[in-house]
Amino acid sequence: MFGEHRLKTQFIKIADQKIHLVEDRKGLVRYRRGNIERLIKGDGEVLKLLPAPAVGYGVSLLMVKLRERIVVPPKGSFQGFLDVPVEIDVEIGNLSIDHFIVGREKYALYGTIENGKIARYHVGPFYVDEPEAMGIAKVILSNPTKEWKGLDRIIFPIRGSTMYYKGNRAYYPLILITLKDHFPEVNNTGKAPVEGAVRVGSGEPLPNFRMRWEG
Amino acid sequence: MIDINASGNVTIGFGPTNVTMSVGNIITAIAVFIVGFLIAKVVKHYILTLSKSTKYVWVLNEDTARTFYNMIVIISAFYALHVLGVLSYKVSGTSLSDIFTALTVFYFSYLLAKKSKDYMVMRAPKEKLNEMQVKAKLFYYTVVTIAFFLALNIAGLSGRLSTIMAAAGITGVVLGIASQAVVANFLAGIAMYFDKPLRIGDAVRIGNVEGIVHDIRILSTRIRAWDGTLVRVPNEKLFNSEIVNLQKYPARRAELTLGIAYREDAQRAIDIIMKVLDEEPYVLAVPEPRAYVEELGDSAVNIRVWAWVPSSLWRGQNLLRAEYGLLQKIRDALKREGIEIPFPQRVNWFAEPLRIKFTDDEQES
Repeated sequence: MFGEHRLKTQFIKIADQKIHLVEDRKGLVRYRRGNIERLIKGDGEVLKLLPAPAVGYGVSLLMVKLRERIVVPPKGSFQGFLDVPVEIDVEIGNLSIDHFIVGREKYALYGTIENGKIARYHVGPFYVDEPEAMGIAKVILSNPTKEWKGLDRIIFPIRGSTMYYKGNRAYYPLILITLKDHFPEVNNTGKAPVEGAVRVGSGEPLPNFRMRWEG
Repeated sequence: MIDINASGNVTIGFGPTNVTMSVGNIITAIAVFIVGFLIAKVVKHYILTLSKSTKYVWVLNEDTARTFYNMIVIISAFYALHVLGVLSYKVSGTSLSDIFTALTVFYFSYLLAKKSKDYMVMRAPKEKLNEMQVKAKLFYYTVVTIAFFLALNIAGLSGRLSTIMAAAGITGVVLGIASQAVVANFLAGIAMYFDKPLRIGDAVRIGNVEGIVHDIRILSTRIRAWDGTLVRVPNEKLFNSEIVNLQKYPARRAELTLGIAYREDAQRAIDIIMKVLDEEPYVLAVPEPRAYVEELGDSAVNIRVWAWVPSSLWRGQNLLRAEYGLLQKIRDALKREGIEIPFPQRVNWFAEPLRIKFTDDEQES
């Protein structure tokens, strides 16, 4: 599903969306997704379906509210997975010809009404094993302090984030959360979360985000 | 008056002063001007050629080429007049040379300030554009003001400025009163720069005016109203007004009221409304939306809906009504679930029994 598709008559299903490619006369290919339509001059190029961070109308953070609170012992650490929203970018060469949101779109205010930020919002469990989902974030939690630490939600920076894909799955880069004494520190490492995943973007990290308003 | 003597010298009379110039001087002056003119042409052509290949088009462009052309032509004309000795002529105790120098300094300082202002705005990162626009304007006015006084000094008028101003006493008072509003607006503009009650791009309400701040100038602020009209608000008025910034904070609460019939289950209606709010992307999950019975009205049980939405998506009217049709979605959901939204109705009671009289026409039918 993710990856390259030849510009020939075919039908591609991606999440809840359907893409039709129809070969037209004189080497033209018609791209259709719902009401969206593009006319592409073939020229031997391929159509790329790539995962994109779920920035929605233009937010910079993703907030995942956990169904159950995670509790981490002093000096402890463990890893797990989140099923998270992603978006799809359709490209020819380096040109984006379509971009769409799959699944549920929802936002929330992270922080106070005076100083907070609007974040993409998702509710889900913290999985120990990789879940069957389209968008996945692998998270490593560590608690270097001498106190027990709890976490109700995970917020990490996504605007401009590198993405990865492997088959039908889209991945955010590996997310490291350090439960420090004052605020949890979140690092979007830019690194591949699983082996063999194809990178989309520069691989640059988005480091040192502090979850100031973690309750 | 022009005289030509036997040795070929030309004498031109400027009032009480006579300027004598030799034929050699005239030829030199003409040559100087022609050479300057040609150099100006070459420089202009060179800059225009460069502008087609350089990436620094902000500095090497037609505008710059024209400026350099003008500058060289003016300087060569200036020098030619100097060769002729015309510039030694005095006007009110100041030589023409000083006056021309002053004008030239002021003109090119003005051009430099204008170019720098444009450059500052153009090179500003998007997130600092608003701030940079105000800074660039302040820089521009500061340079122009300094250049003005510098030019006065070069022209030898600064020493007489106070005398001139004193002499113009009554005129000054009149002008002072007339320019009071201008000065007030100017000072308010400066104060607004530091106080920052609003920025370019903010959505604001000032009195009856509501729209996006389009530009903050030194005397006035321009607001593009939601209907696309331009409203100019003098800075002084704006500074003393109550400014409501509609997008200062990240989220705003939208409020709706709708009524259901008395016979309907209010809690069920609230549950349906909450489901619609949950499905609406731009109704924030945090802070949570709310729906509650606000009032037992004349014709309906009125339910109030509070929904927080991203401020940046608020455009003109209530975002949820205008752009995303939330009210309509709620109405459709209630209708689908069989919840009645009543018309206004009135129950009339009569103190005595009504007597009904049938007319002949009705009896026949």
